[in-house]
Amino acid sequence: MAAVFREATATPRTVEVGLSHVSVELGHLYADDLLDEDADLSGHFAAIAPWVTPDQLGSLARLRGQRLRASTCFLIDDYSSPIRPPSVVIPRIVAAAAEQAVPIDYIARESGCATGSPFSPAELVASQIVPDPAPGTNASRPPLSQAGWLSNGQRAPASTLTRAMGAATPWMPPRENGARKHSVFVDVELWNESEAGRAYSCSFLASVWQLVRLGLLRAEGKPPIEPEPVDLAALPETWNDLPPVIQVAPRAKPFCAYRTFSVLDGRFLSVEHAVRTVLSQVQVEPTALSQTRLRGSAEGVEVPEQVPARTSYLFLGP
Amino acid sequence: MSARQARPAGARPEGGPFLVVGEVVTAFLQNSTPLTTPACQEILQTRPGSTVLTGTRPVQFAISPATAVGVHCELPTGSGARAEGVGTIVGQATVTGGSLVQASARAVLSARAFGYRDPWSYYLANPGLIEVRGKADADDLVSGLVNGEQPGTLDLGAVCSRLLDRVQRSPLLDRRPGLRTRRIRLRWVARCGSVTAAGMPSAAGRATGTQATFSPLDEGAPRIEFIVQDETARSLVVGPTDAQDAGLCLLAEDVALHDWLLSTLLRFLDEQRSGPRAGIANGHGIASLVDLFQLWMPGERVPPEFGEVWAELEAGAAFSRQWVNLVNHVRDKIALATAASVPHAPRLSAVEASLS
Repeated sequence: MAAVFREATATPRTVEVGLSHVSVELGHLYADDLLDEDADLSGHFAAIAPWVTPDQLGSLARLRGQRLRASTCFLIDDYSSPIRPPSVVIPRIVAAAAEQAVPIDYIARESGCATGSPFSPAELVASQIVPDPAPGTNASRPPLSQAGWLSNGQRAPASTLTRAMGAATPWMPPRENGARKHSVFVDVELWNESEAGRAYSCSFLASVWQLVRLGLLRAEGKPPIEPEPVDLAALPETWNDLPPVIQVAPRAKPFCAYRTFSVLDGRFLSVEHAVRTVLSQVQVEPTALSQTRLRGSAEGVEVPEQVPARTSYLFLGP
Repeated sequence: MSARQARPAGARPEGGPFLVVGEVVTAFLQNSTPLTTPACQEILQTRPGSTVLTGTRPVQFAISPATAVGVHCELPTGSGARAEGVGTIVGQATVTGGSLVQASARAVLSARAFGYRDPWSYYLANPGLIEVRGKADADDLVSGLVNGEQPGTLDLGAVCSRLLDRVQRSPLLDRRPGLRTRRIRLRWVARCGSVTAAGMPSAAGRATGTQATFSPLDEGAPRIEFIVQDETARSLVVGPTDAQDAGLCLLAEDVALHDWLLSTLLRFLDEQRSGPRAGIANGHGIASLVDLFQLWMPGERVPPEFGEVWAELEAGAAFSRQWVNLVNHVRDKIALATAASVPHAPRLSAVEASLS
């Protein structure tokens, strides 16, 4: 047997996180909906409840007789515009969900995906984007990127007016990379910059939110966001004073999961298409990716290798 | 590389890896003195929240987080036959001894049976894998990769250059290197395969926990071939092996580092001979040169399974014998100059003049 020598600083460390089989998102509301005092929150949860039964979730998580571990969550949009304080909004949502027998285990604030200390989850994800290369990309130049935008293919060349003839150069279509025959080209705005700083798009923050739920983000080997238990009777008056993710149900199963399931209003379909476009171009830490698969296989649960394949959706009509 | 998942429909035959390719660029860090470990960590921090691994044994080192770069392009071939690759290159930068920087890029080439591309998330889940489709065979690709400057084809060197430039531009560096040196590029290729009982390579992979093996391509051929192409280019071709890509990359980096040390020392002595007769001991850069002496440790940072091929390379190239000779020569010169500088020793200074 050979002697063993090792230096701790020379060995990578990636902290593991607790994992449920599936993380269920109980719908999403825009800030406007939260400002509307007459909004029918009970109706919102009532529409979702029939689609998140243990049998359905077990099948979605590809369980084969294992006892289901599922946690529910709800993301509150406090980022795009100001809303009423946590002490008003959170109890109302928690009560409405409980009334429809779909209790919420965890509540997150969207601003927690954008900013954070010492690491902003959005910045972490932005730094891990490896753009899908268009044919002809040989690495001789850095990836062609339009700051703040990410597409799934080649953009259409700009058509310019030629001065002499007054005629435009012929239009060339954009192309989706790896399209079989026809393209579905999508160009996603990740953020824009103004004097007030960088404002992340809903699509990009929703991508970060998926990665947080999948337990695939790490900063210095540790998850940048971890749920904190909070006393619902003592909620702060400002959203910034609230931890990014709070645990509402004391006996909830782990927040992160092998797979995510989001039951959403149909109006969010284009946002989630953007989310999958982003997720397919984020290189998560390989150790975090393989740890989740190993943990799954240890308990006989198949976990897809690719990140977008770990997300499932149900879009509901009005 | 993790095993591919079963496809829900239309399962396709597996091609499998057949070549591991890479490039290493070695350079002197643009700083007047060797950097401390925390400074190395800072200049190698390429992404927020990423971890720079560091160590002090057998020599001080720091390794940047790996980055992936997407490609979808033609591969260089010797014959001009076409081969198209889709996937990612893995790049990484290393600082050794606080004064040597290496930028490295590598990929495993794997045959792809069908024409279509997988979703990009598949390639990102398998960083460093390039799937290849086309008419070119492994030999054709080896000759293209080692020799060819074929514009528009896979450019591992550009990934290395960008990584290296990024490190060298760090505001932590004073840009007053103590020694005039060159960037030296080493391109490397290894054929995949393991040695069967009959001594012939097989395409089957190696069982985990067993020793990696190397074999010659043909009977009597060397298992490893190192060529000095010109002043700044080297190539390393490794015979069929079942060693992992990361280990092969460490081997290539170790060979590149020692080749750079030897080349730098040779160049220093050459300049001394052709320059004004100031003597080595007072020559420009002698302090930085002596700092490099402690970095000579061939084969110590590669996995043990590479010990044998390193020894073969050493035997053929006489790296260490030449290095020890030259280092002793420099030390003798310094000793003579020191003795000469002591008062009342006029005869030694005469000896020094006659030797230089």
